[in-house]
This record gives sequence, structure tokens and C-alpha cells, in this order.
Amino acid sequence: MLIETRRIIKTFKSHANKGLVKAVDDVSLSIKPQESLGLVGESGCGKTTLARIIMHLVSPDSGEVFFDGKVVKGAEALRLFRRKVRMVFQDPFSALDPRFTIEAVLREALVLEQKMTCSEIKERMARCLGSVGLPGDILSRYPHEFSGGERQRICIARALMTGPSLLILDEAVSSLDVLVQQQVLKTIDELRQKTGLTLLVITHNLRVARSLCQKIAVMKEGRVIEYDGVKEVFDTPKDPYTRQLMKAAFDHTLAS
Amino acid sequence: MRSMWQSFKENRRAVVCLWVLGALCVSAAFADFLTPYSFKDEARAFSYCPPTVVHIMHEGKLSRPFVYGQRMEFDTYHRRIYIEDKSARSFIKFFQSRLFTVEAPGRIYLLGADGRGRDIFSRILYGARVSLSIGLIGVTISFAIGLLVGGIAGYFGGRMDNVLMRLCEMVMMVPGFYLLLALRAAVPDSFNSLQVYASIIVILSFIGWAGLARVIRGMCLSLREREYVLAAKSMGVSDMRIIMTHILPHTVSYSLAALMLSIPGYILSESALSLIGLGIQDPYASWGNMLSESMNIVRLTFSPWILWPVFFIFITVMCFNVIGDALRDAVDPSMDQGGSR
Repeated sequence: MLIETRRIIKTFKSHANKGLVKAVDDVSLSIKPQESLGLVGESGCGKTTLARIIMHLVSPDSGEVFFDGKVVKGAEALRLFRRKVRMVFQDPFSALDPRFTIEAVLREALVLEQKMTCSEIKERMARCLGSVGLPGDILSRYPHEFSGGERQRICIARALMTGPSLLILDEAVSSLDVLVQQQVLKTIDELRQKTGLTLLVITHNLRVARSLCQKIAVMKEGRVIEYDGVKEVFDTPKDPYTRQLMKAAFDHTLAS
Repeated sequence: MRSMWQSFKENRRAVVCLWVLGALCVSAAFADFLTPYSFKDEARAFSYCPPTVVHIMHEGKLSRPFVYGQRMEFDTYHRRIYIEDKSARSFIKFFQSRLFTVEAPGRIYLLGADGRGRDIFSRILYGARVSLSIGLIGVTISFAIGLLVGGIAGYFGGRMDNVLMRLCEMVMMVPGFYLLLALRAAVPDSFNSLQVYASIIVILSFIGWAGLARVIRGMCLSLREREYVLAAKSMGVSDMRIIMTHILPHTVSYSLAALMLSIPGYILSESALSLIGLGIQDPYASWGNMLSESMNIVRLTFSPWILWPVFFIFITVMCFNVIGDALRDAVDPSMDQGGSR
């Protein structure tokens, strides 16, 4: 297993009803190398919290995250983990610091890398931009000069800078319009086939999950209620909630 | 940054003030050349000499610029008065290691002389060095502290935030001027003038940082929720580096305006300290200690020109305020909203 979560629980204090909200409730998932897992569910179901726990940005109340069969422990292991597991965020407009040039954005991604010469860095930047279909001459420009789709490509290029083995896409195409969505998805799919990248695709959009993933996990209120191959989930959904999701996504008549 | 500068330039008043301040700073920097005398050049015979008039006509004929000699007399109230002695002429010499001087035995006092016959104009330019630099250096130090404390408190939040903010409140709780006096009292009186100067800067910056830290902390609380901060974290960028590169630069437009607006406070505090004799010591000049002579009301009515430093303090404080206001207006609110969204 490339990445594995075991019985992750995370609760937050809720100000609304002064109680505790279980954002992630006993979630165990695993992804094999070069496999893609889609994590599907409505907003607020704990997908993003789970992603942040996997990224070691938030620590869980209980449960463990295994990377390559080991718990990530100690500064050195975390450094390696940060280089090998990268995340693409939801909002391409706020995921890039407006004051950073594209070059600075890409260079920042290399903080944990060994010292590289200038020409090596330049070459890697050009390669990563090329692999997401962007020209190499945009380095001196600023994020606001790009469209949403281009920015998301820049974010993906940034994630690729260290040659990761796992890429977590947190609603990475949700805020783009449908045509751009398609192009970015195509880019990601090509990348996966070329480099053997493992993906964790977090989305509320079932079509996105279906186009990229081999396995699907459906989350509701912090729990994984369905976890199976993409074909099984889409053809024979077991849980009523999954059926409801399918219906909402693929049934275009509003009357129910 | 460019759009901020452009809208600043449209404010004519602020641009004029910027030029005035620039001129003041340059004259302070070149005080050695621009002034006729050094700040400690005394001439007791010319005590409280009024501003000298520069003449170019002598007995109906055009002449090189010169000043008449001054003869001291006492009037009916036994007040010291100076009368121009038309028989003694002293020509003004230009570009002789100083921009202009006057031939001995004459003295030139463009803005009058103080009690020891020192040239007020010269002392004002030398004093500008102290007064302006204390303002600028003090504000730089206290802003460095304020930004760092505010940035750390806002970025980390939680307990760190609590501790640092309570610390700020403790500093803000004590009325500024009394804190200033108390801290000044803690400085040993064996200090030489340079050490006193440095300790005043440190004291002023120690008082000034808290207010800024609070505001910066508030801004950081919202800035740290931006996704690029999260992205940087997920890539393993260290916390301090995130604060320095992703958080604090976004507060620049605000803090620049706040910085300008708080400089006058430093200049005024230094003047107040020096005025009551706790700041820069004679013979070194600062605008504050030049005014200590004018605390005597009789002196002030007889020789009102010793109030000249007030004019310079006023101009400087006003310029900084106008520039600060203009910067605040120029702060482009769209700058920090994620670009052109």
C-alpha cells in the first residue's frame, strides 16, 4: 500500500450547538501504488479534513496514517513525506500568492529538495510546466495574469516539482467551468499514465471521480459508507445515499 | 505596489510634503556644509543676537553681500539690544569648506542666536539629524518588533497568541509619556551622548510596537486561512518562512501607512524628553533641547526667534501626517483580495 489510513477519528468543537462534531469518524482507506481512489461526498462530509489529516496538516484525535507501510514519524520522515505526497487545492485563485511570480511559486516547491544548480532548477521548471501543457516562458509573470484553468495547471506543476508519488486533488477542478474542467482532467489523466502517479481525488462531482479513478469511497457525515471499485459503485450502488448521489448527478430531470 | 504609488502621486499635497521632507533630510545630512557654524560654536558676545540682515547696498552703492557688525547696548529697561554698526562691514564668503561664512569678526545669524551666541539656523540643521533619525530609526525598530510579534501571534494563534497579546496590553496599559520617563530614569547617567541617543531610540521603540502588533495580529488571523499558506505548509515550508514570505508582505500596504503616521509621535516624544532635559544633552542639538531655553517666558518675549525649532517640528510632523494619510488612502483594497478576481 502506498498510503493507508487506519481508524482515523477527528472531532471539532462546534460553536453552533456547543457540542462536538465528528468530522471524520473511523475512516480506514488504502491506496495501492499507481491506483486512483475517488473520495466522494457532499460538502461538509469530512473529505477535506481527511485530506488534511493524510497530508499531516491536521493531526487526528486517534488513528494513524501509513505511508509506504510506515507511520510518518520524526522530522526526516516528514521531509521525505512532504516531497513524495503533494496536494492541489480547491481554489486556484487563492492557492497562489498574488505577490509571487510563477518562478517564485515553483521555486518555493523545492524548499525540501537537495541543493540544485540554477540550470537544473530551470530545467525542472520547464519540464513541469510542459507536462501540464504550459509554455516555459511564463516564469516572470504573476498569477493574476492567468485564467482559472491555467492557474490550476500551475498548481499542478508546482505539485510535480519534487517528483511526488501521490497527488491529492482536493476539489481541484470544481471551481472551473466545464470545458476547462475537461482539459485539466485530461492533463491529469495523461500525467498519470505517463508517470505512474497515484491519485487521491476528492470531489463532490461523480463524473470527475469516474473519469479518473479505479476505486471510489463515498463519505457521509464523516463515515465511509461505501468503498469499492468504480464499476461496482456506479453500476450497483449498495447504500441508499449513494443511489441518491448517482441520481442527483446523472438524472437531469428536476422532478423526482 | 505600482498602483499604490500611482494613486499616491495623484495627491499633490502629499507629494509636496514628500519633497519638503526630502529637502529637510538632505539638509540634515549635509549640515556640515550648509551651515555657517558648528552646533557648538559659541560667541558669548552675541548672546540672543537677533537674526542678522544680509545687505547688498552700502552708502548707496551695490556691493558684495555683507553683514554689518553688531554693537551691544542696553535700552532704558536694561535689556540687551543690538545695533548695526555701519562702520564695520564683514563680507560673506561662499564655498570655503562651508556653503557660506562671514569674515571675522562679524557673525551671521540667519535665524538669530541663542543664549550662548550659537547660530540657531546651524543648530536646527544639526538638530534635524537627531530628531529625524530618532523618528525613523525608532519607528523601524518598533515596527520590526510589532510585525514579528503580531505575525507570530496571528499565525500560530492559540496560547502563543494569548501570551503575546497580554504582553502587548501590558505595554499599552501604561500611559506612554510616564512609561517613557520611567524607562529613561532607568538609564544610567554616566552614559555619553551617543549612548543616551541610542537608549532613547530603544526606549521609544519599546513603547511603540504594541499597537501595531495588535492590528497585524488581526490581519494575520485572516491571512493564515488563505490556501497559499496551506499549500506552502503542505510543501514543507517552515512556519517562520511562511510568516515572512506569505503573511507579512500582505500587510505591507497597511503597515507602511501606519508607519508614516506614527513617526510624528516619535519626533514629538524625543522633543518632549529633550525639552525637560532628559533627552539629548547640550551642547549637542536636537529640536527639543533647543526649546528648553524658551521655557523662560521673559526670554521668549525678548527674543522670540528661539522658537524657530517649533516651526520645524510643526512642518515635519505635518508632512509625515499628510504623507501617512495619503498612503492610507492609496492602499488599494483589491491588492490583497487574491489579485484580479
